Amino acid sequence: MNNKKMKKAEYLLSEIGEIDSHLLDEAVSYKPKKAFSYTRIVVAACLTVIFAVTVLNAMLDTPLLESVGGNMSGDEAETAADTRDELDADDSVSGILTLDSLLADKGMSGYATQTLSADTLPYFDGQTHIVWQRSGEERYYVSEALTAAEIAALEQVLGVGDEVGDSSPDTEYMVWILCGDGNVVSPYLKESAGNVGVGVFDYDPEIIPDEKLIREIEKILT
Amino acid sequence: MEDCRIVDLYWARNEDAIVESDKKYGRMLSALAYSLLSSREDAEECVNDTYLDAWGAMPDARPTYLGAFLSKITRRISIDRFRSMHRQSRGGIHNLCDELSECIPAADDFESEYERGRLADALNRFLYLQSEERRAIFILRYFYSRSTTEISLQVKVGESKVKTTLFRMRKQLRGFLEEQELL
Repeated sequence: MNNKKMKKAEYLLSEIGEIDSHLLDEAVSYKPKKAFSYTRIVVAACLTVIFAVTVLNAMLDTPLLESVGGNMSGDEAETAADTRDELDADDSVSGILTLDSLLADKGMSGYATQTLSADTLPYFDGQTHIVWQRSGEERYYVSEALTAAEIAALEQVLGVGDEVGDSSPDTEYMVWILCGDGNVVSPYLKESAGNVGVGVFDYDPEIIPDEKLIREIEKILT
Repeated sequence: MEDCRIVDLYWARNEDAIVESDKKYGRMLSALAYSLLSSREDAEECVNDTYLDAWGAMPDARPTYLGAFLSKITRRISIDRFRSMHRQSRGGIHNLCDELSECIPAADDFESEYERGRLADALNRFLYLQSEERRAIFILRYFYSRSTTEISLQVKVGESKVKTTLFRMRKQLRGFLEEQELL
């Protein structure tokens, strides 16, 4: 591009700085609106029917489900109960509920492919990595590069979780996601432009990562 | 802390205003400056200069959207720094200018045609005509200097859609500016 055109383009770039603040604020906090979904209506209708049947069942002298022949035999009921118990047992055995317990479970280096210092972290390798650091340590633990499918799955659940309220919880591990282009985010922070850093950064947790997010990270790291 | 409370701190000449601004917007401003200048040290200086400018601007100014207000300052300082240092390296501002040059016809005498304020007004009118999604994509790219990957993640569309949208909007903007007889 010649000098004159570059100058004009710079001028336009400069004038873009005068865009209305309201539009800038709208853009930086833009989230796509959820599409109208017939599935949700169907699910809501089913839940309403189930709720109505349950209430009626409780009110009638002869329970509704029994009267239409829905009663299980003794053996069938026992099998169903056993299955329920197994499922409940599975949940409690595999129930890793925090990022701290996930990372502590395997030992700090259990999931990492490399241990690096701050100035050698792969900020610009064009790949996404999960990075974590234990409180009081200087080393950083770095995962393998995430695949496109893993990135897509992670972005669905990133930024989701209960807000921490007035006092942030102490976490043993700081966790970041390096986006490969210099930008860094954390699963402990809400999704917003203000929470995108350049390099690993100190943060006070704003959210408690959702179980789905933790499971996703577990899947990626194992 | 809410924006209005931080602005109140500026007005009260309380230095906590800088601390709170940095807490809330520091990372965003650093990312913006870095994406334009491709240098951490320069980006850090620009962000520090931003707070200095903001301190000087308030009172008098009482911005409703503090993030946008600070971003404008950071952006202006970064572009001025780029110009004064005659950057030769690619990336950042160069890439944005490469793209935006498509919006400008080959008029010889453009300085008299681009009256300050008129072009900015026209840009705002152009953007108000767009859908929220298209507007967000354009502003995230050309104001906040986000990469197409980052934009696609935020807007939750494919990267190719982001690139196509930007291409079409540049063409539209050129046509719009010609219609407005600004070019």
